[in-house]
Formats: sequence, C-alpha cells, structure tokens
Amino acid sequence: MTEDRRDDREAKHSRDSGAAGENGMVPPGRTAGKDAASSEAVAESVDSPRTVPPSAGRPGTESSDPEAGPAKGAAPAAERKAAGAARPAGPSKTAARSAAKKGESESPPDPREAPAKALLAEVLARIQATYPDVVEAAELTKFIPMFLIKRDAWRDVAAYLRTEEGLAFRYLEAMAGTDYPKEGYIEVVAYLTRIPEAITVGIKVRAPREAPAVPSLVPVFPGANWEEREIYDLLGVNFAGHPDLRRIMMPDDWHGHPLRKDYSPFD
Amino acid sequence: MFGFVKGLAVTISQLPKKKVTIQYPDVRPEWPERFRGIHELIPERCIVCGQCARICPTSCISLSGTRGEDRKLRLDTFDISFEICILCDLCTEVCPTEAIKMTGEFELAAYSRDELYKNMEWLYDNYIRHDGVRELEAAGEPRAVPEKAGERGE
Amino acid sequence: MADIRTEEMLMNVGPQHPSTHGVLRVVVKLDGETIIDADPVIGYLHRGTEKLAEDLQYNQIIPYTDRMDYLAAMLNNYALVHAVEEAMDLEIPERAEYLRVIVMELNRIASHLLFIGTYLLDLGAMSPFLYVFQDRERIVQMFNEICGARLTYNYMRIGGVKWDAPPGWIDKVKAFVPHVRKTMGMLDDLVTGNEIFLNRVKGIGAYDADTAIAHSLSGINLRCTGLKWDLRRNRPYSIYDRFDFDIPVGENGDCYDRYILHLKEMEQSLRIVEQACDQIPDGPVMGKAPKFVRPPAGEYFSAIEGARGELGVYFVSDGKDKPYRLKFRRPSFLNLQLLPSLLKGQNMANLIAILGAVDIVLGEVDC
Ligand code: SF4
Ligand code: SF4
Repeated sequence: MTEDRRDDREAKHSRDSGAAGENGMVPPGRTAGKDAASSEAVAESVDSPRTVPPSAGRPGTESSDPEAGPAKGAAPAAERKAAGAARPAGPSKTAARSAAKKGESESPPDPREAPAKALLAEVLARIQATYPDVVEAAELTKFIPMFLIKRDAWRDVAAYLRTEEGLAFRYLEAMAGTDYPKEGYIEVVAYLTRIPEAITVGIKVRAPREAPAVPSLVPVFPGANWEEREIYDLLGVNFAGHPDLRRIMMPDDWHGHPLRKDYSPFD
Repeated sequence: MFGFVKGLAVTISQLPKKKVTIQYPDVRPEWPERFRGIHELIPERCIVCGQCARICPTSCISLSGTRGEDRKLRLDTFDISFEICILCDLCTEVCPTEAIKMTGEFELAAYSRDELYKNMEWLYDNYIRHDGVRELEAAGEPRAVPEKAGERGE
Repeated sequence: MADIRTEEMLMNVGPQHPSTHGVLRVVVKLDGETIIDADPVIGYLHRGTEKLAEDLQYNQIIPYTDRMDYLAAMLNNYALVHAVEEAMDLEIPERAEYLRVIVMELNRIASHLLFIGTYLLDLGAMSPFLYVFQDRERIVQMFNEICGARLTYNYMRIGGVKWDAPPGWIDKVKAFVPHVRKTMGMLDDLVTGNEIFLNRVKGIGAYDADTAIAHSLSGINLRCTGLKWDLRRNRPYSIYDRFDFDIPVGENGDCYDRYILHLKEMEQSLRIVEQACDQIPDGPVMGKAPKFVRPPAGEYFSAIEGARGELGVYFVSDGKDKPYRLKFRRPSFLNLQLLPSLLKGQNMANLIAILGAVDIVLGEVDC
C-alpha cells in the first residue's frame, strides 16, 4: 500500500503542535482517508489470528515464537487505540479501499502484505509500550514497516530495536538521507534487519534543513559510521555523538553538500 | 612441502599449452555481431526525431535539421562527443529508423580532445567503412572506402 | 603523543598502490613494523552517481550502475532494475529471469575469479593471476556476445533484458561450466596447499560473527564467520528459490576463510548456472514495461546478493520518471569500514593480506 508522500508531508505540516501524537500512533490532522487506511491496517492485523508470526510468508524462516510472548502484553493497547480510531470513520472505509486499489491496481493482495502489517502492528505496539509518544507516523512502504521517530528518541529507539528480546534487529542494512527542501527538512532513514529471519523494519527521523542534527547511531550500530559520514558529507546532517565526523567522499575543504537539492557547485 | 610440488606440477603442465594472447595491432580481435563500438550514421535515414539526443544519459549527441521542400526533415548537423559518450547503446535502441547504429570500431585514442568530437561526415564515413561497404556493393555501386575516418569532410 | 618513545611513522599506502584495486589510500601509523592506526581515505573515484541519477530516467541510470562495481556490472544492473520492478509490480517473462540469473551467476564467477587472481598477486603469486584471466576472458567474451560489451554491459532493462541469447549461447555456457571446474581444481592444487600462502592468510584478520553483524558487513565478509546469510536464500528474489545450491560458510573468519569461500561460492554459482541452462524456457525476453517508467510515489528498498555482499537500492519516487533520490547500499563501502580495527596491531606485511581479502572494488566504494 503506497500512500501519497506529499499529502503525508503536507498534513504533517499543518498539524497543530498541541495535539501532536496524543496516542502516538495516528497524528490528528492527517487526511481522513489516510487515517483510516493506516489505522485499519493495524486493526486488521490485530484481528487476524495472533498465531501468525510476522515472519510467515517468507520462505525459509522459522516461526519465532518467543517474540510473540512479550508482544502480547502490548498488543491489546494497540487494539483499543486502533479500534477507537477506526470506528468513527465509517465512510472512509471505501477511501481506504480505493487507496489500496491505487497501490495494488486490482491485483489480489500480495502474500507479503499480511505479515508485513502484522509486523508493523507488533513493532509499533512494542515501541509504544516502552517509549510512548515517540512514533510520529507508521506506515508500510512496500511491505517494509516504516516508523517516523522523534528526533530526541532516535538513538534510543534504534537501541531498543536492536537489543530488545524478541525484536533483535541487529543488522543495520542501510542508511540514507534525503533532502526535502519544500517541506524544509532532511530525512534520514535506516533499515534494520533481524538475522537470520530476514525481517526488516525501517525507521526514519527528520531534521530541519537549516541546522540538521540527529543523534548518531554509531554507539548502537558501529556499522553506521561511514554511512553517517557519507550523509554528513553529502547532505550536511550533523550526527551528534559520532566519533569521527569528517567528510568522506569530498575533499575536506569542500564547500556545500552536493546531494542537497539546491546545491550549486559555484557557491 | 607437498603443497609446493603440487603447485610446481601445475606450472609445468601449462608449458605445452597454446598461447591465448593476441598480438594486437597486427592481429585484430574478432568482435561479435552485437559489439558496441563507435557509432555510424546514415543521414538519409534520419528523420530528426531527436529521440537519440533525448535518451542519451550523458547528453553527448547534438543534432539539428531543417524542413526540406518535400516537407520532410533533413539532418543538417549531427555531432557526438566521444569524450563523454559511454557507448551505452541507448541511442541506437530508440532510433526508429536505424539511422544510428554501432560498429565494431573501438579505437578512439587521439592526441587532442577536439578530435573526439565527431561530426556527421565522420560518422557517415564510419558507416561506409563498416556496413556500408557491403551494402553498397550489394546494391551494385562500389564506392571508394575512405582510408581513415576523419580524413574526409573536415 | 609526547610520552611515546619508539619512533612513529606515518605512511601512505596508495592512492596508486598496485594492490589497492582502484584508488584507495590508507594512511597508516607505524610503530616499527606494527600498525598502530590506519585510516582509509576514499573518494578518489567519487563520481556522484546518486546525484546524477536524480536527473536521469530510470533506464538511463542502468549504464551508470555498470560503472560502480565494474567487475560485476550485471549484478549492479539487476539491483537497480529489480528495485524498480518491485516498486511497480512488473511481471518479468520467465526467459528473461533465467537469462538474468545465468549472466548474474557468470558474472559472480568472473568477479570471484578475479578476486582470487588479484589476491594471490598481492601476496606474491604471479601465475594464478594469468590462469584466472584465461577463464574470466571466456566469460567476458560470452557477455560480449550477448550484450555487446565486455565490462559495462548495460544488459538489463526494466521489464526484462535487452537481448535474447544468440543462437548457441546457452550451449556455450553449458560447455564452459566443466571448464571452470577444472580451473578451480587447478587453483586448488596450485595455491590452497601452498605452505607460504597458508602461513600468510591463516588466522590473519579474524573477527567473529557479532563484530561482522555490528559493522554491517555482508557477503563473504559476513559468511566467513560462520553465519549463513545469503539473500539469495534468506530473502529469495528473482527465481533463486527454484535452484538447488548451498551456502558455504567459513569457521574462523580469517583471510583464509574468505579466500576459500570465493572458491566454494564459484562452485555453487556453477551449479546454479547449470540448472538454469537446463530449465530455461523459450519465450519473450521483454515484458510489458511502460515506455516511461514511473514508479508510484513512495520510498522503496530492495537488496540483492551482489558479488561482494548485499547490494541494496533505496529510492524515493515522487511519481515522475526520474528518481527523487536514489541511494545504493554498496557492500564494498560498508565492508571496508572494519579495516582500521582489523589492521590495528598487525604487521605491516599483513596489511595487504587483510585489505586484499576484504575484496573491495573502489568504483563501488566511492560510487
Ligand atoms: S552510446 Fe550512449 S552515451 Fe553514447 S551517444 Fe549513444 S546514448 Fe549517448
Ligand atoms: S533517433 Fe534516429 S532518426 Fe531520430 S534523430 Fe536520432 S538518429 Fe535521427
């Protein structure tokens, strides 16, 4: 289910700060259709039998029972919230369906979709149980759950995902930064994978373009070292707590950050 | 110690084998049919649609044309800068009339950068020297093959 | 600094060192013969592929991927087209998938062959380099026949492949497989038992699986620690779930394991090629791909098992025919990260042994 990113961003901008993240899951102010879409995703997956582990559907993966245990405690909370969010949205169900249609173009739902949704719900519930109010948005980006994390909690959430029993996303698969000049922020995304089940979740964080600063992930994932240096070099994001934040691709005396959309080499 | 002996045996077993290297400037390599070498251009076939220039990832093709008497577009200039051409084949892939194709020519070394800027005449000569010879002969009008590309029309 | 009494020396290895496989510079701080600090300096080959890609249509980016890991360009091609196809839910014709697998595995073999040759060359053995080049040349010739280029293939397209195999090509590949087996046996005889070689690589540059995971290593650099992690098996893409192959793993995580795994993986790749050549169906090689490739807006990540590790493509689409942002997760780049900590405390002569075994291609590191 792919959602229109631009809508998403605009919605996030128009959101008034007072109401932000009252339940941490669905920020108020997002368009109704999307609200319903994302909350329904959660509702569905919660309704669907709990016995289906999130890893189902990927061939060759063991069903990982231990992780279902601790998740149960947090799951009812998500269920309640999700149900509450979904109930008033009567007519928007069709909107959700049409949104789904737009992404999948009438084809039968991909077998990867259900487990991805379940994973989304599970990880979301677990993050929220430990760190309430840090997840600003959660969605599926083509079968990979993606969580927008608040900047202050970025490293904590990454550490939590890495070390927590049953989550154990120990492998930092990739990191990337993207510049969104219109929206005024730079986004850093990290994909974390559980080895050997090959289950991946993504987390991302946004920093204002003028003075972007994000806590560094190096203390948690040493492998983030060069990736962060690259993002620093090419996009100018300052990773607080990085042990060795230098330019990596460009010469040390280079001016500007080439991957920014408004970069011009003559500055 | 045994390891050395085994290794030496392999080395000795190689001695009577045939050589695999080609004495390049004297012996030319045989390229397969699909080999992507320097382009050739047949200006008569070109309809100046500009698709090749648009698809080129490095923007190294520049062309211009005018509408002739018969309201057909005719090619006036066609330049490829082989300084930046990456021989990716995308231009020949999109050309609707096969006006631009690739040859087995691969030697591009030159003494100055300007020489790498090939114009329509050069590319046409390249055609004559490659496929053109065969095609023209088949059509019964053999034609003098330019010795070396670039010696004509510059 | 003041209380160090032994003589300390700063030395540049590279940027034009024969064993750096491209343009890599390692600034080493030496205490006598011992390395106390090493700092790889990269960026000499940085061409800004990611920035260039933002101005190119998806099909135009494919030739640029050829130039990243220039020893395994088919795999790079595939990483990109696979990511875009995933994003757009495109159907790929069977024959195209098989052709892709065949060329990818052949390319993996070619790349591994070259690794073995250059690695041994780094360690002072000249002749294996010449032998592997003979076989690699045959693979390259086959690629030349199928796509018209020897190194920068630009063979795959979004929705399929550009050319069908020329007549007789599949048979040629089939006939080639036993030939590589013979070469591998020869290399085994020539090198693997050699005591000098063993002394130089056994137990050198060892690390364990946890370190490897923490540092995001992938490919053989990860598998040499004993961890079975191969995306072809763990997260099957394309048609890899149809083939029967093993994932060899190492035990000690040292340079020897990394070397021997290259040999073992070639054998597995050969098995895949054999099976694919037997199963390949007839049919079209290009699916119904739209003329202008416009993935729906959103962000996508997909990864394949490249020759050097996990080759991932992350891209953000805004619904246009050009990516809004394209990022390659290059295995060499991440694998090189561990180098400084591996080198610390080692002998200077081990630098080459360790660096060579990481199997980097600088075109990919710098992108
Ligand atoms: S081969 Fe590629 S780079 Fe060269 S002119 Fe054609 S499209 Fe441009
Ligand atoms: S694509 Fe072919 S016909 Fe069109 S302008 Fe180029 S050479 Fe001429």
